[in-house]
Amino acid sequence: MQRYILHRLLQAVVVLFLVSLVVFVMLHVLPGGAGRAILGKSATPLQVAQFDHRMGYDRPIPVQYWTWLTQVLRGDLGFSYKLNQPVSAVLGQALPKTALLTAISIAVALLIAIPLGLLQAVRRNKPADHIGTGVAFVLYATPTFFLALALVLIFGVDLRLLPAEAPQTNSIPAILGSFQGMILPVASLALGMVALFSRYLRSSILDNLAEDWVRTARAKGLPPRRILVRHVLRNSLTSMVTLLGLSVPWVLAGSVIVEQVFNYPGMGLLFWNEAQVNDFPVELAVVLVVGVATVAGNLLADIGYALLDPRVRYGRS
Amino acid sequence: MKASRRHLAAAAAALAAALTLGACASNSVPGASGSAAAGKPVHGGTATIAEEAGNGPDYIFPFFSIQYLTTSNTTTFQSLMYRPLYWFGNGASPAANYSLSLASPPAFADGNTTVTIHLKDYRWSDGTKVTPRSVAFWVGLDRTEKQNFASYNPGQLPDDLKSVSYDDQAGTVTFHLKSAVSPNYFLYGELSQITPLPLAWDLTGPGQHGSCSAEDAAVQAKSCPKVYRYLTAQAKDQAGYATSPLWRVVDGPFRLSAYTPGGSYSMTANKSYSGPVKPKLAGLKFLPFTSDTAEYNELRSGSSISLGYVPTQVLPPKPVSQAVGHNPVSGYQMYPVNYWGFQYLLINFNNPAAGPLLRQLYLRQALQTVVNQDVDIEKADNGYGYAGYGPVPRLPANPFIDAAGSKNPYPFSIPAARKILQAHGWSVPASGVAMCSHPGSGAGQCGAGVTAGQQLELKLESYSGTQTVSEVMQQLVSDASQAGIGIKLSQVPVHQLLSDAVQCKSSQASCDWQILNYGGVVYASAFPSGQPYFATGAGQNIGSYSDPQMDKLINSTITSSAPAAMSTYEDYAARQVPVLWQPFGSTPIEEVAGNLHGVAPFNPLLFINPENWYFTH
Repeated sequence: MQRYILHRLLQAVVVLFLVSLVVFVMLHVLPGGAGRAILGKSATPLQVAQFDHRMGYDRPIPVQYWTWLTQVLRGDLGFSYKLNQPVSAVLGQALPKTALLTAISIAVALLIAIPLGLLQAVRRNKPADHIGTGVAFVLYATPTFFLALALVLIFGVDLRLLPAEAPQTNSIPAILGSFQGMILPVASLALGMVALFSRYLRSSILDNLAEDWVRTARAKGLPPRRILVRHVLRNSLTSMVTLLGLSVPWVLAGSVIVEQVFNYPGMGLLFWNEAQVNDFPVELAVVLVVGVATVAGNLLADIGYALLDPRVRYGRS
Repeated sequence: MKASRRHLAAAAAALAAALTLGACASNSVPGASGSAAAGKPVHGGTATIAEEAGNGPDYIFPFFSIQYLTTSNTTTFQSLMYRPLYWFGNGASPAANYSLSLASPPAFADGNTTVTIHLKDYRWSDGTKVTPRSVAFWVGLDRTEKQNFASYNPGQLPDDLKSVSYDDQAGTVTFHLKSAVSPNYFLYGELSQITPLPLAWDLTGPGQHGSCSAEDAAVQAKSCPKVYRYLTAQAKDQAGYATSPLWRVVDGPFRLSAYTPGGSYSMTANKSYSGPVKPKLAGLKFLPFTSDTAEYNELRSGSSISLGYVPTQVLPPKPVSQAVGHNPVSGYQMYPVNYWGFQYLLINFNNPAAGPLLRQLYLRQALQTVVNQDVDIEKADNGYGYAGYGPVPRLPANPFIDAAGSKNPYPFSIPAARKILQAHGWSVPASGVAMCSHPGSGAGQCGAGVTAGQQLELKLESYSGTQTVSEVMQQLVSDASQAGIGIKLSQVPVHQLLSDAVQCKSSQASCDWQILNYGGVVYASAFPSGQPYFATGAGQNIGSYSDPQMDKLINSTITSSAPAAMSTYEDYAARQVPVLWQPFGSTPIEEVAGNLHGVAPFNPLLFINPENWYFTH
């Protein structure tokens, strides 16, 4: 397993290098220079040219990339002249908030989806299954921005049961302390995932229930609950683990809308805003972080898969 | 265009409106906020202010470079702590407000080549006086670091200074200029840039005193670059804004008490403020928002916001006869604000294909004639906007607009546009694109550079992501087509539009653009100077417009003290159509909590005066 993890980590480094290279080149060849976008339309051509020169944006792209890469390897992500802060400080404010929102959302989604998927599989083609399926389809088909706005309008504006915005602080303990403000943002992200996870789990459980070993277990007299929870569910969760790993970038993308609607400035919104003004250092740093999260998510999924299924032995032929 | 970060929000806000219009609403109470306060005024309290979405302050040092020239930095954050030499905004007018200025009205002498200002008795919060050295400090920075100052324009301060003399005893500063200036221009366009700085900031390092506030240009030349480097380095440490002893020295009515990078900050009243109106509130709290939708939702959910705003897209249409329509937010008063600027479509006079067409005045007149401003205001701003006919805003009431400037020289009329084209050698079919049938540069001919059989087709580039803007552009395309003018509309992201909008020569690849929806400008100062936009070769004359007569008239507004200079310029500019004039939308609409008073009328230059504000029970 250790060799496998080491191998995957080396792969991850290569993947991240390639991702950064591709993104760097794409950002720099896209129409719209950084100087004009950052300085705004009041800037004169001379001011734009001076800015681009000072920042090195007028140098060849390979030179710019090398400069950026060596900076990053030294732990320096650069300085955002749009936000007047070091990029590391900008990420330091946004990343923990998005990580918290994403983690809580995934946890909540799993807490609901697992029992729901199990229930639907056990009650297959019965009213509970039909209702669950219907609700799942509706939730899955609902765009996040619509769901978020609808939740705000119902619970924040009309009923005034919950705050219309997320907690306004950068402190994670303070955010957790005012958890009421997190209910609607988490619900907006989690409900879509509940639908996805529960559908996957239902299908996986149904597949497993049809396996010969389940029939054997029943024939041997194992209690149905034990077969279902200890054997069928455990086997079915392996597909969920893979799905979880793959859903990290998807959740990060979904957080753009949620962060915007709930006034919760995190990574998604940071990337969106800075992409509007070609703030290259921030864009590249966010891409790097999302790349790391994606690779890490997949790596953890593979490790989790091995832990859940002893038949899997990575690193051996 | 202002809404580069707001496109997504606008769409979301529109959806929010569609979902809820009519569900929660109240009657608005138009009128001046708190001028006739109901209830008993109370001393103290903290007013909570919603910042414009995605536009929190990020720079504290009031001598800043162009990337920090944002309304959030200048008009609220910095100016509440560090007062400019002259305050602009008198009620809803952009005129100079001498009562709130640090100096008495400037005195012009020697044929308007000498300008003397007399400083009033203002004090910094460390107890020292605001003296001529405070002005000298700024002048020293401006002389040595003009390229790093956002408002620098070649030929203006400090280029037009012959010398500056200071009299500490008398508290006066005298500017000796290289040539005569228009008093209005110099006050509104140049003195408006100056913010006196505290001597406590004259440092080259921690505890190392500089000499940038010396009243000697030679001494300043050596010291000011070092002082500038130190202060800009300090200004990059946002985490230290509220605690740094540097930034705590203020001469404004408020001082920073807390600041979080990202835009959230609080201020407390400066108890030693020496201005004429002492703050009644104990403090101010500024809240950042990620989107207009988030702010609007927070406003409607019974929040503690004292001063917020509503995007016009979510408002019900305003009846033409009323100043303010129905207010969807209960407990608040709604105020449209007319900003000090103008809205336009850029024209590229150097485009190799369209340049010969666009250089024809009659064609620009025809294009202006197919701009249906009334419909645009109704579509884009739900009635909250006003038509723009030239470079000087009609609203708010101001000393620069004349009677002619209030009239549209080219009212919307498709038949009139067709007639203009036909009178200049174009065959205009009932439907389809006009064709030049009489080439040449004589009377009744298409004009120089336009060839026989050439079709009247133009390209228009606009920014994507805002439905209302898209509708307005489509309307223009549709109306133009009825007049025989074919316009091909493309919509691109804002940053691409900004990068496309470059001054160019016909031979350059970057000269491909023809007409751009560039949004608008809010004038940097209360003087509506045409110099940056329409003077030949000027920095923001992106379309390369060039007209000796326009240059002469603009120069008159800068150098002549004759009141007619501005009128002549604005009337000429309106008729010459150097850009296509567009309506100016009054977005967003301000919302003031019912218990907060003294807020309105709003300053059209976006400054705020919370020292006037107070709560009532």
